[in-house]
Amino acid sequence: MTPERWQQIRGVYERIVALAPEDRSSQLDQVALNDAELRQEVESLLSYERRAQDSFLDTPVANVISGTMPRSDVSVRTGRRLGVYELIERIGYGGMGEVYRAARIDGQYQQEVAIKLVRSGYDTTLLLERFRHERQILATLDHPNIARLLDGGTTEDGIPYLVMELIDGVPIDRYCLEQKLSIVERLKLFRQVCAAVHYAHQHLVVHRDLKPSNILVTANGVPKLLDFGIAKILDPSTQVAPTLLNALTPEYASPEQLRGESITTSADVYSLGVVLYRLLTGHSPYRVNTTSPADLARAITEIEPERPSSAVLRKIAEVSDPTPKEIDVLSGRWARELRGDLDTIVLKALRKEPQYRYSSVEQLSEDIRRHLENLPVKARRGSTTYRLGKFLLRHRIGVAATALVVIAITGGVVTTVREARIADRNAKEAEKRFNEVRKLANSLIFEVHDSIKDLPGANKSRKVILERAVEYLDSLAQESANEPDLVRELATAYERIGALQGDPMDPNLGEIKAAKGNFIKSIELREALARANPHNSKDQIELAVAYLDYSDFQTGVLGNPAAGLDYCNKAVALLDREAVADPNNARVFVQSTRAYTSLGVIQIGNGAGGSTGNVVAGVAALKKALELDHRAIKMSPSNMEVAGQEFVIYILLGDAMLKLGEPVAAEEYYRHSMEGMNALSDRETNIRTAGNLVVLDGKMGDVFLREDKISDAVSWYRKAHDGAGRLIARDPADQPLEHLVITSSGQLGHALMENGQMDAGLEYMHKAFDAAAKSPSQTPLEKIFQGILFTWFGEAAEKRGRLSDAVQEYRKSQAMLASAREDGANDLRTQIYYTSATDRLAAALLKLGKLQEASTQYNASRDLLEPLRKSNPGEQELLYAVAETYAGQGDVSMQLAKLASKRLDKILHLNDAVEWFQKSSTIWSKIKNPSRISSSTMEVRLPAEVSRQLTHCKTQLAAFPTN
Amino acid sequence: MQRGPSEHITSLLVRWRGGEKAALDALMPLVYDELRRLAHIYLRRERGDHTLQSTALVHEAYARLVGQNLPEWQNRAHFFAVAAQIMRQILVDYARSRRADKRGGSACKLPLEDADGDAKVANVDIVALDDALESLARIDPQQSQVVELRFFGGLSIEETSEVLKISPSTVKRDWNTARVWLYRELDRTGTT
Repeated sequence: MTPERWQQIRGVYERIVALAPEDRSSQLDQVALNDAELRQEVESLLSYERRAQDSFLDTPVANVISGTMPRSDVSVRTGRRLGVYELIERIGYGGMGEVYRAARIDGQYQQEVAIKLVRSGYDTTLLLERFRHERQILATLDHPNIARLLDGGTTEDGIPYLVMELIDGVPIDRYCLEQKLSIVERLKLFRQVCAAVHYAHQHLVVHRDLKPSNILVTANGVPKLLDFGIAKILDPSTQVAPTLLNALTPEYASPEQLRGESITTSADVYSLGVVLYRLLTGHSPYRVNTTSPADLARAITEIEPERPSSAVLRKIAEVSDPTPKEIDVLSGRWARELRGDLDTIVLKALRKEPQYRYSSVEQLSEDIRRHLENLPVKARRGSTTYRLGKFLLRHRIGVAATALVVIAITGGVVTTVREARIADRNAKEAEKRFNEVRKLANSLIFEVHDSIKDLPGANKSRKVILERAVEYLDSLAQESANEPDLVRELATAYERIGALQGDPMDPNLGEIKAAKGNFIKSIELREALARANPHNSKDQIELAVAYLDYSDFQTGVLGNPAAGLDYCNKAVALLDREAVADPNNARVFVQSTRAYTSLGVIQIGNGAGGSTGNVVAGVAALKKALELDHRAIKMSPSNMEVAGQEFVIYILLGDAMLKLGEPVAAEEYYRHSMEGMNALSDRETNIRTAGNLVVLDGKMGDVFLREDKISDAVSWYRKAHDGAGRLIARDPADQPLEHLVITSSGQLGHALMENGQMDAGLEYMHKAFDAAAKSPSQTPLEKIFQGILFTWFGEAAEKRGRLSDAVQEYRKSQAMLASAREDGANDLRTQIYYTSATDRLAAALLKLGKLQEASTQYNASRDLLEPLRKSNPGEQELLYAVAETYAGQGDVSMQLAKLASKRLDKILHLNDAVEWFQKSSTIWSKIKNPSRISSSTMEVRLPAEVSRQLTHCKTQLAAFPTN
Repeated sequence: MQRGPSEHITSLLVRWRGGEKAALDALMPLVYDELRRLAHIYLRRERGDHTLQSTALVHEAYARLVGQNLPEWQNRAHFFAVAAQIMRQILVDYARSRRADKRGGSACKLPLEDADGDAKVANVDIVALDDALESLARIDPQQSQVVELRFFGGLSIEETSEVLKISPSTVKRDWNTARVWLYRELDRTGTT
């Protein structure tokens, strides 16, 4: 059903269903008068209406699942007793806890307290841990301006709670307004707050959430700091990683908090700056509509705040009717008093980059004192610090460490033992943050990603995760140029991401470009490492491996064997050198084997890779690989992969033989490989070996297909197909196996078709096609496979005498292969597939009498093939294609001769035909063991047929007397 | 006051609503990871005898990630819109794996009953529902989305209307028609 049709149906349905049941039928009669299907659909929906409306899907999954959980918003604990306290009323609540006013009921003291406890429904282990942690922090803080911790405990149902000093006060900003404090009074009050925060910093506590509502001022004018709840002691052993899950209160949060970066004492300096700004100007430093947190967040990270004095002046202009409380602040005198030192002090506290702020709260407070005493403030001198800070930043990872080093160097601070400890902790913290990001990136790539990899529909998340990981890595890479171990780790991570993004067997992410970028990043890092450590054999080998991975990617995924060959050669050169330098290193030989195998594969053009068209050189490379593998086996006899490689190489040699037109030799290699692998899989059940055996069954099918022993080919292909099916049943998620199932299904179908079992053949081919077409990635290789299938469908249609159907299929094949070529697969093999499809199309058109178009197609094919022949002399596969194209052009000339009315034209066309067939015959003579089915699995006419046609032409020509 | 992941998620939601696309990108893995992790723990633990026992999976994930102090209910709606997709994915994945375990057996229903044993309400074959929703999405993506948000995300009519930027009455109409369509689809495939 089309969406448009559905809209029509639902429209009618919705109109009808709104009617009383007794009216529906007649109305429907009217609406669907001439549309029986519409009527039927609507009636069908109506018949389900009652059942569906009953309760179907009515209760959301989430509610059903969580239906039995206590709802936290109904957890009113007023009146309950906790130890010696009774909860009187709830005075506040936040993300994780509630605060109650409570009274002591054991008569010991007449004291009211604040009790903070975890909400019901939230008591997870982690939360409890944090809560207990908070209790420990608070217990260490004993300061007249910090709300005191009195007690702590756990409720009967296991919920921890804190008993704190109950502060009866108002938020500091309100206090200043209500008390109409002068600037000097405000600054003095503020300095008390600074003292408390500084005290906490000395105790390794960062508040992280400083804001007026957390700074209450009592009736006696004493400021009290509340809620050291989100503070985390700067101690690695107890710190809960805040990397991703940072807490913040937007308006007072520092830019680094909003960015989720590391938080140090500097964040509190910033928040205090915001508080001070508000105390001095009556509003936020950011001129945004504060009801939009999005704008606020952007402002905090991007916009430089206005000078407090200008802000006040602007406000005076804007507000025509100030409230009595505002009237002091909104005066020119007030603004004048702010201008200069105070502007500078406040803005310095509000710097976006932590290293340019005051390096401690004490410094901020000290500068305010200097201002109050009319001493020059330090904020206005700052350029040395500024420059030095910048210099250090370039060379150090953590901004906090920089800030502290800057203080130490520039002096002005008596470094107490305690502060040294903070500095030390902060440096460690910075280091730790770095390592956290490093760990995070690794965990994203290796754990998180892998854990969701096989989920249906996970691709989007996978993409996000990998992109995020790359971001992290990139930022790490910038900071770590001089740490070789880290660079190595980064290179590995990029390789891994590249492999994930570009794995042709994976449910592909369609991230080919990104994959390429990451492979190259890895190579660059590895090249630098290899250059910097020329005697580190591991770095050389890893670089070679990176080249090989990228070569595989170029050849196997991008279908660019020429580039693949380049990188493969680079790897070979490196490994050859290492083999000499370090002849006892088994890894060198393992990788050399791989390198030479790849070299062979690329040149032979086997399997996924396409070809650069030098089969003979490829065979030599494979023989070298075999030799190297034997060495590797001797060095590590228990390595199954090394042992298995030998038999893989035999398969490749078999493929090469097939290409060289030697099916008998090919069969021999294949059987050799089969025996070896069987022995191997006796020793160990390995799904890869089992998979390779299935591949081999398919290869045997190829051999027999080439020898035109079709029924043998069918049996082998069937064996491969069934084997692949059995394997995938064992491991349904295995992508390479799924590929194998699809390919073998197509090949079996093709062989069945060639064997005259048309229906069965088509069934298998369609199965293969549907599976391939469904793949979301549509890599060039997948497109090539579909293109081949279209050609086979065309051949099937021709065999059934449906010529115009065949033409359609061939056109689809052409289009699909053209699209693969556009995607970069422009190797010899793909071009041959393309010309074969073109030739088939031309032949069918010719049969349909479309002479002109047939001729055009053959010409196009020839134009593509002839230059290829020049650059790939002796390439058997290509010879088949050229021979067929020439013969096809002969057909066209024959047809032209037949249709020509003038005698001379007939003669000329016949002459052409003779020439074409002659050319075709010449090519055929270069083909060993000619086969009816080319190695690109296209049907071609055999040389005998060409000779027959040649003779026929000559006979006709002879009938015309010359001159 | 101690603050947890909720604020971070909240600020991302706020930024996302403010039109910042990158925020969603940052949000997805966070939410996904958390749900995934929790689902994993619960499903693993419950694997033996029950199917998906109705303990705190979603509740806990929601609570941990969002808390209950979101500044605006629209944020909650947007969070749930994300969570709805993820919930669907997790549950379907789980149901599929159960189905695969019993290959050849009958289709596995996912009894999402609560502890009171009130199984009727949601006794739906999640896999079949997922398939049906996909079929629906092909002819009517909006209706399919409405069901995803309402059923998997637990959004109210109003919240759904906010997320999809369509009127509540449209949501209501979509919801009613979609349920009829889905019921029929499930009936036809023999899974109701």
